[in-house]
Amino acid sequence: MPVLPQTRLGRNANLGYALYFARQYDQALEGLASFDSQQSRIVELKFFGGLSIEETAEVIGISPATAKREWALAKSWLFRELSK
Amino acid sequence: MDAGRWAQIKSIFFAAAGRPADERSAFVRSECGGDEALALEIESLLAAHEQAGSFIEGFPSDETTVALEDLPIEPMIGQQIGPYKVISLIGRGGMGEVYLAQDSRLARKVALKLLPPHIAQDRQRLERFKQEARAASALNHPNILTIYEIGDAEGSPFIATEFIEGLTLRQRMADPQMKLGEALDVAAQVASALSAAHQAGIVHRDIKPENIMIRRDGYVKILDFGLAKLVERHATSPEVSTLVKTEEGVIMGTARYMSPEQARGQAVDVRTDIWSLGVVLYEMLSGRTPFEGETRGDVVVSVLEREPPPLARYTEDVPSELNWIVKKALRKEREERYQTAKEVLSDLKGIKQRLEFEAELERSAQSVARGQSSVRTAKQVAARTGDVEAHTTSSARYVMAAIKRHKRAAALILLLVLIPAVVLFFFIKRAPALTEKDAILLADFDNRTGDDVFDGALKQALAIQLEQSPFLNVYPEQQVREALRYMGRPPDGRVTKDVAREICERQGIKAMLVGSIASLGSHYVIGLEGVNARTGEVLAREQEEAESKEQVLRALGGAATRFRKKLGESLSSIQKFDAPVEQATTSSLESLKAFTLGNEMDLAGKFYEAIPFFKRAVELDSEFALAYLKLGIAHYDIWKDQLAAEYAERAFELRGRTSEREKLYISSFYYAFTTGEIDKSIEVLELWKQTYPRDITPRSDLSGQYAYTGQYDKAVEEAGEALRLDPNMAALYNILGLSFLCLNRFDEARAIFEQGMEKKLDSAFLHPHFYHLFFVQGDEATMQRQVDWANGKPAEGLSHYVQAHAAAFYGQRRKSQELFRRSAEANDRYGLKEGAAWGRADYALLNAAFGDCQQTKESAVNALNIARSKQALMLSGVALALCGEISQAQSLAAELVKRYPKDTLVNTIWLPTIQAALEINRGNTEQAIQSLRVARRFEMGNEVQAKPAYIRGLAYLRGGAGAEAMAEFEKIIAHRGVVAISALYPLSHLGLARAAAIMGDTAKSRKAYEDFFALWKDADADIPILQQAKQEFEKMK
Repeated sequence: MPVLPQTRLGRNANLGYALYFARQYDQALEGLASFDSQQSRIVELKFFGGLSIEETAEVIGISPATAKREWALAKSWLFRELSK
Repeated sequence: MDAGRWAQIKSIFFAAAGRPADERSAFVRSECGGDEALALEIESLLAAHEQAGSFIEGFPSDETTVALEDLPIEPMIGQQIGPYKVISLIGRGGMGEVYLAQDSRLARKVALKLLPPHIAQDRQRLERFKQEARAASALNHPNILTIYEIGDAEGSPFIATEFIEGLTLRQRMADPQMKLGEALDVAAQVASALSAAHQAGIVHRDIKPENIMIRRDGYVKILDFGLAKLVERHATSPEVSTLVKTEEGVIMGTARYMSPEQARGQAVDVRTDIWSLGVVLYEMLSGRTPFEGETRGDVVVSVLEREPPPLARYTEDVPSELNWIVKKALRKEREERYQTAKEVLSDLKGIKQRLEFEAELERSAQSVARGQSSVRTAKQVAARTGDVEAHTTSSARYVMAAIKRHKRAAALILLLVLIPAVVLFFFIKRAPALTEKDAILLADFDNRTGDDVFDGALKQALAIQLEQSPFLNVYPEQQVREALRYMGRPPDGRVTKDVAREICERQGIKAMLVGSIASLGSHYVIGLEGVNARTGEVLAREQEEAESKEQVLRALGGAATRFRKKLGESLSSIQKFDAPVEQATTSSLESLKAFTLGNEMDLAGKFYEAIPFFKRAVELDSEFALAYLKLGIAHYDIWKDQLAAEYAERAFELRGRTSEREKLYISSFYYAFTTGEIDKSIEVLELWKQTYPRDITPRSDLSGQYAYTGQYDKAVEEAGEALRLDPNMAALYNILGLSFLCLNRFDEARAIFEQGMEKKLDSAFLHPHFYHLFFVQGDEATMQRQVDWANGKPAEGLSHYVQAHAAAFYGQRRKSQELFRRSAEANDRYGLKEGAAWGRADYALLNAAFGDCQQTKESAVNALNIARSKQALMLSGVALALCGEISQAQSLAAELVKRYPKDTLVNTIWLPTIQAALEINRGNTEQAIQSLRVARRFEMGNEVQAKPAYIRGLAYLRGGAGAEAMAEFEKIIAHRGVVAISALYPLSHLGLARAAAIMGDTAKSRKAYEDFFALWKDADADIPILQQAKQEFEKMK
């Protein structure tokens, strides 16, 4: 059995959780997109794109207050899905 | 979920969010009618919001992590509330939103505060509040905000007040530090308002910078009289503790201004306001509150028990009387405090007058003394005009004049003064402030600029600068976080000076470094202070001014360099390891900030979440080498190998711009991973280890590389040393345990694995390696536990993979095939394509060794279809070569050469092994053995696991060299730990039997055959090599 890369470059890390998170995250976001494409877009812009709430709101064309609310709910939903 | 249902959930969720926490559940139930599932869904989302915290939040400066209560409610703009039409939102605080509104009756602008409905539920209290607020307003004091109306619109109370154009004191303080005169002026006006209110029997209870407004013309207005009493209950009563929790931020803010009697929950009187005024005054003067802490509890303890740090620590020009006033306002015992605001006011006025008088004097003195030496401070002016001390101030000038008169005598005096100074200098130099063995802890920067770009970024920059020094032993950030965890603090909490001191005490660290930055107009002042953590004695101090924000990193670099010298580092060492931070790392503060945030995530094990931050860092500075490296490593951790290699390559291209240590880091990773040049990687790591002997990374990486290449003794040594430096590094247990296993030191291996488990450092790999060990030891129950552990985790693929090999070890090919299939399935489920391909290719090679070329070809094609990864190419190449698939094997070898031209293992192991297998098929055994010569060096490595040795054994057998073949197979059998679950172990027994037969040693041959059959007693009967072996054995009888 080969030593896998993680061990080879002894980092203090647990590959498992990162991967688990990545995979589950993609799936959860796909789920969210299936019934609320705007919210999943907000998550993409803000989390992956590194935009601020204001910038995100501008890109989508909604008010920052709405973006903030939608973000809060999307975050709650994703968090719950990933904690399951 | 369908969109209609989701819309329903959304509308109830947002409506519920605006309600008090203890009513949400009932509200949700009533809104949902009898729909239990809907209610549960919404409740679980509300609960998830509370728990989510900063989950997937981006830059903290966005401040999107808000309590449910603070989510924006439906826009009010344009709505009519009583006679008021809402124009715009002014602000939002703990007690509701404030809007600018137009009073339609009087055509004037008003500030309209809408109280959250839950705050005003107690009618009696609301009435009392109204009375008090009206009474304060009725005083008509110029420093108390005038209330026009307290009303009620559809159950929601509102307060309409005069509209002030200006800043809150909080906003004002966010700008450069207030001047002494301005601070005194604000404090005096507040004291004046309090004095009037107190005389009318009204206590404010919540004096803080948010409640003090400064009008454009300098007039100060106090807001929210009486309001504190209305909300007190909500902040302290136990039945609404959830509310307290979600409002932590709000209450934290208030706790810093809270008097000891408030903190204890006792009744309050006017002296509480005096305390709070004292806190506000302290903050205006020093830029920080007197009682600070990480949590609300810490603040409360500080308020109750600690004496505030003397003002002189933060600011120089505070007159001693003012210091005294602040101290008297902040007496813990009410009786010792100022008893009335009026006394405070009169003392403040006294200082104000004196300062104004002195300034006047200074102006007149300047006009008198024009042309003479310039006069700096009011104090000197006062001294001079006071005449008494006039001569002492000019004593230096007197000495100079005397020296001019008696030059020779003066030279003598100078010498007499100088000699002891020189002696002293050398004496001090011989005893440096720190020695190389002393660790130094970096505290977080005290950022007094109000600009959060400096948070974190400066510490990171300083760390990079200081870590270049082989002399300084900077305490690793990872271990700082570990220490925070032990202290019961959040691992990402701030390391203030006090926290730093506590960590030093706990970890036995001798010194700490406290940095600060403050703004001075458009300039910045950066301070570094090295402190002996035990005694508090200052070891070294450096200060540097930057003319602009862009110059801050450069200035910090300069200060850091001089600081190193003061701490005792030699000049030659500094010269050698001193790449300027703004070149070495990045000149962009913003980029450094993104990098720092990414690094924090990375340290917390959130690799996936760290990626957008590193990406942002390289967006902001496309030449930020270390950020590219981190991107590479993060992608490597989530198995995006190709991307990882590309990022590492970019970092390598930019390595000229990095510090010495970064260069070593980047190069070692690049050689190990992008090009696969293990020799070079090991060379760099050894150099790194020598240059920075306290670094853990070179040791842990070296141990991995040594295990990888079969140098297990060295791996044990490095891993052991690294573990001594950091006993909590999970990967080390893995490498160390594995190395012991490969050295056949099974008991030590077991002890290490168990230690790792005990420390709960069981990574995805520890369990599969455990499985190897218990397989060797025949401990089936414990083996099964490792399998159970992995179920449902990403390590599941790996777990099935290990079991598949174990089945093949016993010749159970069908079972093995099934497990490889499951392994591939699990790997695929977790997006680990390369892992899936790896297993398939392994199965191909097994079948080649078993003599089933049909299965070999199918599996190899299968593996390469999943991913043309390095492992798939290597293993399939050998498998196909063994089966005589010449053109296919050669094309795979060609692909390896093209893609990994410099890779050490490709060149010394895999290409020669493919070559040898092809030559055996052609009958050129001599050439096969010749080409495998180069493979000897690394063939017992953990990645290779004796495969070239086995092929060499086959070549000798084919060539009729019995003794040489026997040596090869015996060597494999002797490395029991290396081939722990490899089918090559039983097959080597067969090889040994055949070699002994060639040599005519029938007894030995027979014994070896029997050993092989014993191992394969449950093997599938249709495996070609088993059938051949049985025939051979029959013939011997």
